[in-house]
Amino acid sequence: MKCLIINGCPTNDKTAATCSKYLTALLTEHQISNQHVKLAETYIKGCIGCLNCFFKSPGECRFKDLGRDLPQYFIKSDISVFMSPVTFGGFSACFAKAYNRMVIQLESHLGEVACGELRRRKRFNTAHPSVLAIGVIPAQDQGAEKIFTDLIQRNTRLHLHSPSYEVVIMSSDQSVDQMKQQLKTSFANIRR
Amino acid sequence: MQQRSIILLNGSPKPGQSTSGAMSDFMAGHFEKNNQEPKQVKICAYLKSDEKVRTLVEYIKTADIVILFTPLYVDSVPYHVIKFMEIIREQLEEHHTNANKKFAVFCQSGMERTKNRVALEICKCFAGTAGFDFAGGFALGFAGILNGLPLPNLNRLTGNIQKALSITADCLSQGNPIPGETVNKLLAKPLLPGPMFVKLFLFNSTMKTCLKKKDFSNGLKPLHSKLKLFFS
Repeated sequence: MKCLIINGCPTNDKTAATCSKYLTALLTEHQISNQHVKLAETYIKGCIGCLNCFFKSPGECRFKDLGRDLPQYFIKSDISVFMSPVTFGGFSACFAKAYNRMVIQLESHLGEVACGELRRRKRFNTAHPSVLAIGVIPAQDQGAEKIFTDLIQRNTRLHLHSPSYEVVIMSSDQSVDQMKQQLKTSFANIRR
Repeated sequence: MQQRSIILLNGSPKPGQSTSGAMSDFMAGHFEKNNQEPKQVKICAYLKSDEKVRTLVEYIKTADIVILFTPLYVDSVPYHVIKFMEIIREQLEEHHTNANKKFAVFCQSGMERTKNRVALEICKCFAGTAGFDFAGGFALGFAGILNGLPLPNLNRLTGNIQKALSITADCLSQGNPIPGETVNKLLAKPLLPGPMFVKLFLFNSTMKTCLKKKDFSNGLKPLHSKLKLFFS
């Protein structure tokens, strides 16, 4: 099994670092190979909405950087882990930059109806991985957490075509044991 | 009418024309008719250097009314709009009171308008965190049909959008709250009417035409022609 971790948290975020450490340990324990992409240490150009990846070079972005490789990493994995600070209930700018680039290349220019809504079809005819989304927040904020959960639910259903998803919110005021337990439970649910 | 400092933010990352830009241009025109002098700012252009970021922060500090026009990117706002929000939160929340500043958002998606819900909640959360007076979040669907063309060029399609923007500009110029229900009703009238299978047919046939031509710049012309065929 392969796991892709896309980490959009700043390098000095202690909660994210602790979470990342335990996640890696959990993956090693279950003999799952992992690929860790640290967005804070990489420059990725943002999406400019040119739609080249729809009409001129379908499935491939015009910008030759990590943003072009992420879709391939995603579809080759069995589980994808997204780590991002919860920013106003959504992703941080650093995570969103890479995520937008990845998702648009995974989507076809054509639409279909799913769950009563329009969505774009999958670009590549392969199974997409399950998603574990880890939101890092300085202190508990129910409003922001609800928005984040909604965002992940809609993304996995309408954009990522993932078979299942789990959302974990890690806050700085949680104990390390609580963090570990949350991660373990969510990871077990995703693997089922 | 009292002079107010008005900033119209264009959240589109596209280098050329965009629907966000077209809506911002229309609203700017309407504010000018109300003897106001709005300032139009393209967010991505102001994030390119520290000096420009400082200029953007100053504009927001001195503004009475801030209106954001943003496209929907994967159920959220584009990354540079989030970056703008992060900067404003850091710079203003400690040093400046935003309680008297009105903040309104117009979010446009390429598909149904209901898809904008989470993005509008994110904007509302930002307004609350940064201490703005949230004047309303408004959603528009199938905005890709407009393709950045000036709204008056597509009067048949955009009559309701123009009314909604005019009402918003009038109310804000007079210092009145935006009548959210009225504006939402106008924006709810679909640009792409009909049942789901009609929307899907028109959407997909336009996309196929664009792929054939490998060009999206005039891509919505086929859609305009098809709409006239169906709904003239």
